[in-house]
Amino acid sequence: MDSGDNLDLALAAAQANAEWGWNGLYRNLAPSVTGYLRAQGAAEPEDLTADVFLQAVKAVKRFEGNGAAFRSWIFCIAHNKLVDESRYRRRRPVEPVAEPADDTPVPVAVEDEVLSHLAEDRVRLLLERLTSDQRDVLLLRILGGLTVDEVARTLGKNPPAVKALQRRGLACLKREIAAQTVSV
Amino acid sequence: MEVTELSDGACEKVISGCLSAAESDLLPVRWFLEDVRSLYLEPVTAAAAALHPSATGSRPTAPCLNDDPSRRCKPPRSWWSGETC
Repeated sequence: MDSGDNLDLALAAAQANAEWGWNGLYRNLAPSVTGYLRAQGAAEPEDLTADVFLQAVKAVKRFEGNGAAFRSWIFCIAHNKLVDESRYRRRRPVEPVAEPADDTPVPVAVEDEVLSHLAEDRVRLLLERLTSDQRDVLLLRILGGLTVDEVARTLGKNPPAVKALQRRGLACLKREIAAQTVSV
Repeated sequence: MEVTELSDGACEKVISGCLSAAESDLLPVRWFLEDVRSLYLEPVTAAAAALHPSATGSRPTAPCLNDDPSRRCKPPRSWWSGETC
């Protein structure tokens, strides 16, 4: 049984109010939803993921479609939450609060930590070179595992427009990576 | 700025990771996409698996706090369910 079948079964169970159905849906989809929200720069990706599923729980009875359609629907909710959160943050910027000093020495592999931050910075910088539409499309494809048609439904665009954004986004990445390699 | 577009077929190959030797110029983009996946997807997948060990089909190794090898306990059958050494 592949993951699509599992998603179909879990969805049917969730719509019948079976707890294992929701467990299955959450286990299957929450990691990629959280990853998508984090890559998009959400302030609290785990909390936002919980909000996404809460909204899905409220509306699942009205949902019509199979597991694959449910995956698109969940990412549609996640994307809308992200847009709402970003608008909210622009209206009410948060002042950073200094954390109290902790004197307890914590054993940390400093080299690993530094390398990990460098890798994350490099990925984030390259993602920032994309337009927001290109980034939405590529992250939904890479992290959400959605097809072009599913991305189109999720973002309210038509498939040719999504393909064009994908082409331009990947071409931009290719160009930026080449430029970085030359400059290093 | 000039933007050179790729073909739709090439894009799908980059995204699916099915690049041929003739498309080796696209490998750095594919590697970047793999970095994105490993950076944003794998940590949360691993965290979810740690929270729900039964979901992975494999059980994590139980931590054994006994320093004396002769008295070292056998791994409990399901340490996350509360059974102890």
